Amino acid sequence: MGYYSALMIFAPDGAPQPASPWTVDLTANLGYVPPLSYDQRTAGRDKPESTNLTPVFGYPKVTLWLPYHIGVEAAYTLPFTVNGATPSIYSFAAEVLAATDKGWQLVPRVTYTGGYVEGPITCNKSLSTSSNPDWVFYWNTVCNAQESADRFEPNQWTLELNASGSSAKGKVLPFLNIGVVKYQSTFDIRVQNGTGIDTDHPILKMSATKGYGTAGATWILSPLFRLGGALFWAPGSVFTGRVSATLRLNAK
Amino acid sequence: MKRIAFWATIAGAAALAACADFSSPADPTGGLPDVLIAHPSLATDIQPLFTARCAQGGCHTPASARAGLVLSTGQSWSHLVNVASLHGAPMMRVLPGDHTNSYLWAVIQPDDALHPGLPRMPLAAQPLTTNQIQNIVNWITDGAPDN
Repeated sequence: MGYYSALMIFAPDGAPQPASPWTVDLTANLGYVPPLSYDQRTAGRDKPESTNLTPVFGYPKVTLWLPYHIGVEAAYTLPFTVNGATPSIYSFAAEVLAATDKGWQLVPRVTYTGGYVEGPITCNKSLSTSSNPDWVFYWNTVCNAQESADRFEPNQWTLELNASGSSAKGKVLPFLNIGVVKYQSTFDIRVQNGTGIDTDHPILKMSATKGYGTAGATWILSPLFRLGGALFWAPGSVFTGRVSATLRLNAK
Repeated sequence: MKRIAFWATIAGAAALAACADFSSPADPTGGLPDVLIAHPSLATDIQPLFTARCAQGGCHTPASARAGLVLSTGQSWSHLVNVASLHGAPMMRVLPGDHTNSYLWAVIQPDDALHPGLPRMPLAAQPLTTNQIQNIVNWITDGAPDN
């Protein structure tokens, strides 16, 4: 759970670019989802969970800049089904330009991520064709020969501090972001029976506070368009990379 | 062009280095005490095993009751002791004083020959430890009391 929760942290996709009030930025963000090894997917059991359902996680994001260099962000991962997994994840963030000095800036930021991802993680049809007879038995008895509709809900808050080069510094702006995340994630194991979701479904809960960091750079191609790339590390959960492209509307 | 190549190299290296930063060590005890008990009590020594390893969603809970067996607290004894086994007939699930003729003992053994046609239990999970199995044996040998 910690792995997937960390992947959904709404970390910044580049150096913040505070703008005049009512400026709007549109961003497309894409992150790599590293596959889990067999051991990581067994999680102390013999049967591996079907967790490698998607290699990427992304979302479109809109940022609105308000007076006093306050920015508010909203993002939504569209509910496209990939390998049986369907996300419906939304995130919000608020940030403010707190300090600037000698071409550098500090931007604190708070975020919330909610919604869910639904998919056949516990009971995946691949079990039915496994060479291990125990897993075939598991599919036929525990899974009722139906894929589960397991639901993961991230439900997490973050508090971050972002240090970056400001646009006065040049066209390639490095940034470093550190944050803490408060996870209150749940994983609802929803095995299906003949009439719908089995009422006897355990819900695993994770409540934890952990740190994470992001480092990368924003490449300003024009006043209206920029690219971002970042390495994201949540110790004990995941290390991965993210890229973004941002289009600035109605820039003054 | 050099700059693009530089950032492409960085991105490529990042993709190669990307990984899940955790391990999933198997816990053969299931998070339970792994000590041998000469005269175990159902309530304090055996039931915690049933609760943690068997009476889980989709398995031997009142709602699922696979093979008609419920191993939840307060119900396990009446579902086990002197009750005919569905898969292991004509064996009893637990025959007090005789663990080798108790299907509960047979089905938790790694030897498939002891439970033909049915996988070892707990299903698709780590087996019980030697001590945990022996505690079940000791409980049965003591007459499988509801204590």
